[in-house]
Amino acid sequence: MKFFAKINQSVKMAMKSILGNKARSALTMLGIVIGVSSVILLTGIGGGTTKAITDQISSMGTKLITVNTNRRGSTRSVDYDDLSEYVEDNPELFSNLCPYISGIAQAKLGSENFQTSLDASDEQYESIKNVELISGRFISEFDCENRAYVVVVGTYIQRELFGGMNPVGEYIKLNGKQFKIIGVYDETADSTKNSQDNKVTIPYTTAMRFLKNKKISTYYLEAKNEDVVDMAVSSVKSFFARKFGSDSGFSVTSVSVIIDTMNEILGMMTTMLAGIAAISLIVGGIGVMNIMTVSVSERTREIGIRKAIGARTTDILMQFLIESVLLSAIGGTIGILVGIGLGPVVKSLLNLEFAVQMNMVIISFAFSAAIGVFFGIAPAKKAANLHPIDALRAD
Amino acid sequence: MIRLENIKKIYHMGETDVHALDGVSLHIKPHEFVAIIGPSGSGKSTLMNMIGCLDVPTDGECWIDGVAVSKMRDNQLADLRNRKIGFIFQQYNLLSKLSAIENVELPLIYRGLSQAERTELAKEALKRVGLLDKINHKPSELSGGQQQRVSIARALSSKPSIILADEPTGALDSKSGIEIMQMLHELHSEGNTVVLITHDLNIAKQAERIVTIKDGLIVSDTENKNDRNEASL
Ligand SMILES: Nc1ncnc2c1ncn2[C@@H]1O[C@H](COP(=O)(O)OP(=O)(O)OP(=O)(O)O)[C@@H](O)[C@H]1O
Ligand SMILES: [Mg+2]
Repeated sequence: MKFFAKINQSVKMAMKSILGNKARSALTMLGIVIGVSSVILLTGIGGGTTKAITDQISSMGTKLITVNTNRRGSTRSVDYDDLSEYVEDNPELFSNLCPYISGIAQAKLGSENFQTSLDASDEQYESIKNVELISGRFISEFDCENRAYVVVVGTYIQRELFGGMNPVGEYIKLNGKQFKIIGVYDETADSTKNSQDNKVTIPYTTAMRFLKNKKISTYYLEAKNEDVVDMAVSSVKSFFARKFGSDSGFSVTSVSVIIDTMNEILGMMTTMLAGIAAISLIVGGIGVMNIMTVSVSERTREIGIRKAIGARTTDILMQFLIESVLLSAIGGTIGILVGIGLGPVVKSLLNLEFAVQMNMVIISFAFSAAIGVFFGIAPAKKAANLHPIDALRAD
Repeated sequence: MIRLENIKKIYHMGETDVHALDGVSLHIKPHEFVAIIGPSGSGKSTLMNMIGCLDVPTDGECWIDGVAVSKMRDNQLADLRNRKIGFIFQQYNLLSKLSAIENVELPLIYRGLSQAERTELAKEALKRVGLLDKINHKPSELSGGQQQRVSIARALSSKPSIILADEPTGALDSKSGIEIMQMLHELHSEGNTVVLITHDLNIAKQAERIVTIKDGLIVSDTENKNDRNEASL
């Protein structure tokens, strides 16, 4: 009871002293404010960037496994039917498979003539790659069996060749062949020529004939669920190694592997940023110690008076310690608010991602209070151990 | 109640030693009003600091209420100053950032009293010194005499048994000085032990007993028959 009354009193006295010297208190806090706000800002940017990148990668499908045999010098490939059979034999690992071919084509309609990126697959592609269409339909199994001359186009083509009108049912020429438009992709970028919206997709069987490309270099597989991705990856690896008779000539990647690596790198980056910010916090703490030391020598007489009328050593210690803790905790709180407030500004000005890291808010608050204790203890001890008569004589 | 036995205080100033107190023995009984008088530099303040447990002697022993000061720990000394001794300094020694009432409350804070108890005691003390209308004034907004009255209020707010006053009228004009002296007399008549330090014989004559000190030694110690009533008026 007495103890809490005294603490409460010390807090009041400390607030009085802090508010009684606003300019100095503000300057003292500045170091902590800058330190904490940079912790919040930098970890916010780190965390925001990590989240944006992992979200983007995840949107590509966390169950997606990509097999590429299109290595330079590689002449071998794996037959689609063989791989299909393997996938069907392992339903506990795989839920889907599609072939993938990519290239470039010359698109033409009337007098308009331009280059577009062309890719080719089958009906499974739609679900494996989460294809979104704004009109029409995707390539069907029937299209593939019949090597149909049908095409799904991007929004650039819709805008450029059809003035934004729905082009489903219309025809365009690709490399001189007439293709019927059956669907339109949703916009992924900004519908400009150099964006991902300038593309066309045709059945892979048509592409093999049409591009005079007899082999499929890429396969997309879908793992049954997220938990078996790693097992599925090694299973596919061993299948290809068996077919190729070697570990080289192909690569198997999965989004979850990429995300793990990305997270690791970004986590390191965030830790580094937090480390840099922590250094500035320590510098801020040294500032607090400076001011507290000055404050103690300026207030030697006050300490003498307090001791003369009955302040114990611990009373003086608490008074100065609480003052330095309050200074740095208030600095920390302001720093947190500044950091959170500056986040959106940095986001829009520097075009960076920003997400407040709640754990960092808590850590940096605790850290700044701890800095108040750590850097306040020496000046507070100096004050507390002053001999009353020496302190009273000071001027 | 207060007993000093062969107290010495020696300051080492480079080559020479300053004997501020050179073997002082003094016994002050409860409820006594003692004046300590002597020329400047004779060791009066040093002596008061010993009695008030603010300073430690180089040699000798000091007893307060039968307890040897040298045996006490810092915290016990702090509590003793807090509860038994009220200081009145020549330079008032108020905290300039605190208001009159906050200054008066200060010893009560260290005693651990609640805000309500403190306010009550502080107001009572300020009323006694006639400053109830100035409780929220800062020291800088008060006259010297008023500041000294605040410091008296602070000394008596914790109801100590011993009042130590080191030249309380030294910085005041004669009218304010008389007021302050009147308050000391009042405190004495209420049963407090009052130790008054001065270099002014006219003020010393108001006490029951006059101790004269010179070069760190007591040179005379006399009962004062000329009581307050004649001397002060
Ligand atoms: N901290 C100190 N260091 C060195 N010498 C000191 C110290 N304090 C006091 N003295 C010396 O001790 C002697 C007594 O000092 P003290 O302050 O007790 O005198 P005083 O009687 O109170 O004088 P005054 O009437 O001027 O206040 C003086 O010679 C003084 O110079
Ligand atoms: Mg003196």
